Amino acid sequence: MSLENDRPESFLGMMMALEGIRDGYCLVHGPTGCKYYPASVAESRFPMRGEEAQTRNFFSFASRYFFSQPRMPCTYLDMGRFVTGGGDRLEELYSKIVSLGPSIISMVNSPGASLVGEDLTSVGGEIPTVRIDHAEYSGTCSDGFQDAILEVLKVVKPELTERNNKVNLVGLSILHLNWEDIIEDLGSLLGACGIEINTVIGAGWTVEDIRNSANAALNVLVYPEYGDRVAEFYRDSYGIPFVDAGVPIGFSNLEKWILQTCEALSVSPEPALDRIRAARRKAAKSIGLMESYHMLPKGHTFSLMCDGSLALAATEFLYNYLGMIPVAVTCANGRDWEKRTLQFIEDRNIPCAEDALHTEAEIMLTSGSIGCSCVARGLVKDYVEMESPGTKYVCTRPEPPIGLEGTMILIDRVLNIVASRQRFL
Amino acid sequence: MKRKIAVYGKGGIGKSTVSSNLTAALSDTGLRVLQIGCDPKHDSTRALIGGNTQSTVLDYLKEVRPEDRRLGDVVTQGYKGCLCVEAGGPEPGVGCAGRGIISAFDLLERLGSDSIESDITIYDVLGDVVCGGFAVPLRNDYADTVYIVTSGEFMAIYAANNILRGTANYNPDRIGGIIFNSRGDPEEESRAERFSGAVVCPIIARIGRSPLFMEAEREGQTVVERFPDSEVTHTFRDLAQCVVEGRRHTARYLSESELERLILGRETQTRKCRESVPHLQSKEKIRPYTARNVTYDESIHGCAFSGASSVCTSVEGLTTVLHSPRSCAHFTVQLDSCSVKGSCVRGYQTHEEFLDPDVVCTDMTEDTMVFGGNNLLRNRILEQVDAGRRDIAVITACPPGIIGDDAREVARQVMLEHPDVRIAVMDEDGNATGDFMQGVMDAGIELARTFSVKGETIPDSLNLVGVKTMSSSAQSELDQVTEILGRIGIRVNCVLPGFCSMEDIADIPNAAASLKLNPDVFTEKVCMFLEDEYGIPTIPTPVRGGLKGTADWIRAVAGQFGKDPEPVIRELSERFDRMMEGPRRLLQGKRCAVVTIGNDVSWIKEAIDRSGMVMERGYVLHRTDYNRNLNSEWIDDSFTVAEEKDVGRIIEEIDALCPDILLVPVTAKVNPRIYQSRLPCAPTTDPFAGRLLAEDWIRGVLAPKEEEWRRDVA
Repeated sequence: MSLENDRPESFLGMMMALEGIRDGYCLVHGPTGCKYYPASVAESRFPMRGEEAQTRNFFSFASRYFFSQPRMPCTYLDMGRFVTGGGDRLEELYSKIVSLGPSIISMVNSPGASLVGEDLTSVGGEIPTVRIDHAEYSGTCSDGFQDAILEVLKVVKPELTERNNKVNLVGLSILHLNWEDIIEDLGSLLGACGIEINTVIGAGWTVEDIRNSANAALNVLVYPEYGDRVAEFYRDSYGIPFVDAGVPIGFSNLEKWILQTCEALSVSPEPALDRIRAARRKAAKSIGLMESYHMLPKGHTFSLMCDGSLALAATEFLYNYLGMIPVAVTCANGRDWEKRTLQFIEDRNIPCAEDALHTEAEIMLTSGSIGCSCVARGLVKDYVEMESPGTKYVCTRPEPPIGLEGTMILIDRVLNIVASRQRFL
Repeated sequence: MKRKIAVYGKGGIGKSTVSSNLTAALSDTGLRVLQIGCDPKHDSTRALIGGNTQSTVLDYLKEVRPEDRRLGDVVTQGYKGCLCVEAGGPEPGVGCAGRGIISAFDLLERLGSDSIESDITIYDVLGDVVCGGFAVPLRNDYADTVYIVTSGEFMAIYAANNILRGTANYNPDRIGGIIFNSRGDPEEESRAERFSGAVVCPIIARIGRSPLFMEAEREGQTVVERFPDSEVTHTFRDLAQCVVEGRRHTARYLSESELERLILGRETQTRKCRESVPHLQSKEKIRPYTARNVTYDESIHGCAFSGASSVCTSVEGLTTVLHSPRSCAHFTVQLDSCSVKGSCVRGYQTHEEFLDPDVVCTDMTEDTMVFGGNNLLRNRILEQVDAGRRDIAVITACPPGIIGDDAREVARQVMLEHPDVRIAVMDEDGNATGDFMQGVMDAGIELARTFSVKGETIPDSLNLVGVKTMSSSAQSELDQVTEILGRIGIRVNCVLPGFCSMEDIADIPNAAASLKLNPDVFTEKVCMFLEDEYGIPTIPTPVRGGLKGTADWIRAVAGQFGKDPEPVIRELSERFDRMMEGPRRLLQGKRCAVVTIGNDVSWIKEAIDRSGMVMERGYVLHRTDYNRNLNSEWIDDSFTVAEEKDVGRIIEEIDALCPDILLVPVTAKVNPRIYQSRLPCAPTTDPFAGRLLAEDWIRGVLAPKEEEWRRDVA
């Protein structure tokens, strides 16, 4: 049995990079089957692009190209069109989208359209237009995401007008669980040290932000496998250095992330570190309480099916801070990070499986979708939702899966799972 | 100077000979030339590299890991320092050669082919512009000038005309001229000249037949290299000069009839074949089991691949192999399971198979697209067989369809090798067969054909046909129908398509009747199949929601089996009356309006009437792509059938009326004081569905007219 297909892949990663542009539209040149799911993901991950939320509604989006969904109109190709070509529809759709006034349009060939060589250069030119003839088939989500960001940067070239002292967050997509909360959380910590965010590359930025992105003094990676090549591009093209301190989750990792960022900008990290110290004290009190109930997480097992960089940071934290035992790791994205995670575990002489979908554990760190299935299967007792797709429609209070608040939420979830599953003999 | 040219022409016309001699002639002048052969047989540059063959870009793509790839590995240095590349392609009969060219160009670009210091790049392109792949060199970023090689034979000129047509589709002002390559026919030069004149494109070189070509080829050289002072070589030197000058013309092309008139001197004959050939009869009676979009040629919603997957992954004991790129598998598995998983988290009943689908994907890659995916599919099926799976469904997405993979043959071979394995193949090829519902139907039919076993008819049993696997209420509604059937002494044999076990599927042919769970076309067609294939009669009245609808179908089923339905109907009716007593007290006299897209409104009207509300407006939106066949019997006279384009006006009208409650399938922009009660988009089968609506209306009436949060929006 496999839940491998629950993991987003390169095509979706690519489309979410394009849908991450606030004032853009991504068109799918392909069948509706290639549009419905990604369009619903884009809609749910980023509904607040303007004043009002845009959601599925056939009263508003009943036309052929939109098929009731507000995002990602498509040319609804069928096999006949694969034979004769669908350039006329693409042209009509492009004109329709131009009339909606976006600052940028992205066009993506579906796998079928790409196979028959549909030519995306046949339309466009009025406004900046990104054309992606074909995605990396069956590649990773993070690679698809970065490929698309680099394509965007070819079309809308960032302009170095005046270097500021701000940072860009790199390696964050709208596909990441509660991405806006992550920006708020990390932005707040950086802000405490007097560091402003210039732009978040790939998640909620505008065309103006893209142009302005070259003015930042530093790029800071959030999920490195989603941003390492992009950070290298900015370094090579605009001389912007970058910090790769892993995913900022867990107190030590978060401190490292802050320290390296502040060091690169020559500012004091103390205000942020003070906040982290306060959170440490608060967490320790709660854990102490659990100790008095004899419900510590120490010795409890966990598995991970998530991005590699997140797996490493979370493993270090749960092992070092809470004394938990990793028993299985599977990462579809960030294979190098997965190797580092496995090495970390091996160095501590802990036997660890590389197949989290077939290894029993008490707690799993994963997406809501996979976690839900693994609980139903009896593989794990419970799960902590760290990735998309989540199981909530909406969050009215910040619930970042990483950052300072994310670290506290992770501790909270783990402690409560351990407590609720405690057996009293 | 940095030029890129493409040499096109009919297969076998001498493009490679022309290209390699042109490369040699240009190299003699000191220019740096890069020749890229775009023919799967990869012999374009052979004469430039001593008659040797070089490894192709596509072989390299297949054999070398991405991190180990280097540009220098696919470029060979030839005559006078010219650089040679062969794109390569799949074996004849498999994969997609057009896709191969796209992949090869893409890899070259990624490896940094732009950094090659050449003055002229020559693309030698296979045959005609038969598909998008072969048109790649015509696009802006590639060739700036296109040369067409032709003889005076009709088919060669026909291909030349097609190339002009293909060029006109891109950037038409890029035709460099016609290169006439003689085949020895005395008349042909005049034909080529007539064509040249008609399309206003000059013949820039005339290459006569010469034994020197054969002689040079035998020695693995071009004529230019082997016979530098020959007349042929002078022709190529002149052609090289012409290429360097780079004059360009606008592509014009002829219609087929114009071409025939010009070259063959006769009008096109189109024979109308109206007479039938009586001895050619189909062996089987053909009844098309087609979904509505196929029948009516509507735009396709979703794909059959996904629909078939939604059925197969809901069957207990069946392993599903999706032959597709991973993106297709991810989209379809998420689409199938996400809403159901969500329902599970929110505490509703669901079908457990979706929580843990037994599904694998072949993860088609770039290589597979070019070289064919039959082996990949076979290996993935065998992995499942080795893991102990015996009942397997294979579903194909667009790419295998486009590249011509033969999933049925692969399955047949595996079953020959493993006689205990059964494989149902749904070669949907993405949406080639139709939309999502077509896939649902195809899967239901194919699973029955592959896995069912005809035995004795089971008395008082029926198949429930038309379950909507993705509906979060499907399971609870099935339970309800099953319970009612049990009360009149009927047992459910199998639910289809999907939501059943392999044991249930085995029994499909043995039911005494089929009962439709909805009036949809796909349900009708599956019932038609069960009639055709196994002689199972269909009960004409489908299961419907509401009390009247429920009474109708119970009577129809009871009539089929000779049972007495009245006690059950009486009991349901009394229960419903009791249920509606409370709502009536609270809702009496309240004003409502209805806008729905369902084609059965009787249960809504029933609930409104029983609750004592007053319906001030009622509209059924006629959406051709959803409810093409509105059933007039189920639409009360108090409802007006409206067109989709009228939605805006209708909503404005209702807004002005300001009823207490608006029953509507999606949120409408109306006064927030109107309580919007959501109607299901899919038909319900719940006899007490009206009670659920009434409960919602009560909540709407009891709630404050306008919530405080709205004031904070601004």
